[in-house]
Amino acid sequence: MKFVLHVVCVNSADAVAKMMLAVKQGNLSIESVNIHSIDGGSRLSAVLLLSGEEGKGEWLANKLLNFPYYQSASLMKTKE
Amino acid sequence: MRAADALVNEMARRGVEVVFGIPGGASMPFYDALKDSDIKSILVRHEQQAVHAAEGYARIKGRPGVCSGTSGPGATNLITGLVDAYMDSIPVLAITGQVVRSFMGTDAFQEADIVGLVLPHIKYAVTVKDPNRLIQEFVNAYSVSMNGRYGPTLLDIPRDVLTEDVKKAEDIQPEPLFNRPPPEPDIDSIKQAAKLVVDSEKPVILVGGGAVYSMAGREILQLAEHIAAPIVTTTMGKGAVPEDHPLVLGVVGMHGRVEADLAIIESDTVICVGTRLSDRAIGPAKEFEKGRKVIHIDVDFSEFGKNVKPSISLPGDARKVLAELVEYIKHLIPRRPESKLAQKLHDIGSAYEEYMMSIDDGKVLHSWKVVSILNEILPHDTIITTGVGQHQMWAQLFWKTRTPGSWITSGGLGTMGFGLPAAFGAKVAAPDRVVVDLDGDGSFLMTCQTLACVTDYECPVITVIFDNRSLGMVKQWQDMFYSKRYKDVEYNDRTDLLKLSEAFGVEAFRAETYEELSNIVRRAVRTNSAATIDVPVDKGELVFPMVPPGKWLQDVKLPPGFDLTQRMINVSRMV
Repeated sequence: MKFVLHVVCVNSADAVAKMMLAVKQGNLSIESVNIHSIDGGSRLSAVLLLSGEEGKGEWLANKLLNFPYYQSASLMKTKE
Repeated sequence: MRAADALVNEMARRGVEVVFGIPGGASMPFYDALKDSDIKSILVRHEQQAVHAAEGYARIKGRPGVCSGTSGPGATNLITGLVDAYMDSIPVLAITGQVVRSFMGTDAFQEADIVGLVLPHIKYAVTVKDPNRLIQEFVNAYSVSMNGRYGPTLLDIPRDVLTEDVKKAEDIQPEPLFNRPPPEPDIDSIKQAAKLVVDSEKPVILVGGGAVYSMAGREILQLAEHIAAPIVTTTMGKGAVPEDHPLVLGVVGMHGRVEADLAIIESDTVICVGTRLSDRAIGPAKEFEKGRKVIHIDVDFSEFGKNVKPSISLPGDARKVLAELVEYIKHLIPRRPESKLAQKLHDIGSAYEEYMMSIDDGKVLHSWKVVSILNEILPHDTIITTGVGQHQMWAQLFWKTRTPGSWITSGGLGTMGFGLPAAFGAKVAAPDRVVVDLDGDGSFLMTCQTLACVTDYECPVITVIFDNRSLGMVKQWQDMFYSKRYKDVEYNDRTDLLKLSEAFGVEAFRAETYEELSNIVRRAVRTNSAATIDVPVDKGELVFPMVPPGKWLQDVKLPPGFDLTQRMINVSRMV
């Protein structure tokens, strides 16, 4: 399964690192990651194209919201 | 005002009473500020003990435990405990010193990127580089450790940040990301779940650690009594409900009670409360899902479907969700008559206990009998902690927790050495209660320096060591799955645990008989004294029941000679 995940987080290397560690924890493969700053640099917007087991994209989106680095994490699209 | 003083003031204002830790170069301003405050600092002998003590403290107090270490090794020594707290969702705040900002990134003396090191296993960690953000970051980290699903946080503070002047803090509240309200119960889903429950013939309630933190025991019992459902728990959920209640069957899973495993096998619907449904609790998820409906209640959305696909997921605080669920079920059906299934399963459990007692030939001491005796002589509100290994499994099988929240163990990470420092932290939190660490000799030797703190701070913890001079659980696996090819699992007899304990100032005893054990424990309880009790248990003991790893609960291996076949046939005929 392929997933597109949109994440908005605080602008810190820790937030990005933790997001990628969660990708690893979910045993997901990275196809592309695009990150840029928004709101005058105070936040980051990330779009991740990932592949992995069914349900893992939803798991990742929900998992990230447990941590206060992430303002939103939404699964935009899934595809076989 | 110096930032370190502002931090300590805010800590005190938030109710922090104790900091477990060790000072060092980078954290000296913090300790200097503590000297002038009412917050008690407890000097441990290794930082791992500081985190475990903070975990024990948090579990009893119901608020974050605070620990501290200096930069570099002081901080890295905290990691095992922080991962332990993450796995078991325990609110702990670690405060670490860091090298001064101008030295960061230069591989300076005692510099380690502790935030980077803990990131995969922490709820929030930050290096505070702006002194004016320090108090806000403390408030954020302290609050978020108990927001939603509990967990550890870490505040890493460069020494020069602690010494800068900052403005006095005024009523600082956590920022929005650190104060997200938990999901409110979804009434439509609850109505669907209620329908599923009333349509089921053999519902079972599976209780995890989330139910303990949510203090959902009363609601669980209300539900169980109304629908006549047996209750089983995970290792972390043990003690969410009193284990002397007739519907409570004990811990389920790899080393679960036979009657609890049978309850799950026989069930057609399982109401899972605050559990991540780990392999140790339920075996392979596919088997668990087969032929039964699963209702999953959890505050953490990411748990739904992670291991088991639920028929219905109910997000929210367990206590609130259960309260609603009980109300809807009460509207649908009257209270069901007593559960014959639960009674029958209880009988099987009693038969297992009787069988275990009957194989005591009086020649050696048996761990299960040691736990049973302690169960009889210790007060009902005794706080029990454990190490990790065979003794932990015997404790979860035979100790009956009667006061909710008084069972403290390392369930997720399985950290040997957890028991004694966790007991110490629990005793700091509840000096008027009896605290007993049920430990293995292997686990005890990993953190036994905590006895120095037991003496220094007059925190009389009772440590009972199930001494088999081996790493018993590893030995059991080598016995069962590696053709008895034992390797590096046996200790020599030259380490004198009694002298070791006495060297730290804690009176020590060797109990050669059950009567001696009873007398020593009774005296320690009566006199509120610390005691280390070395109990030489059977070196060849294997913990049964045991479900081999990767197998379904039905493949459980029972104690040799204990025949369950006839009893299982009887159970399967019951509805």
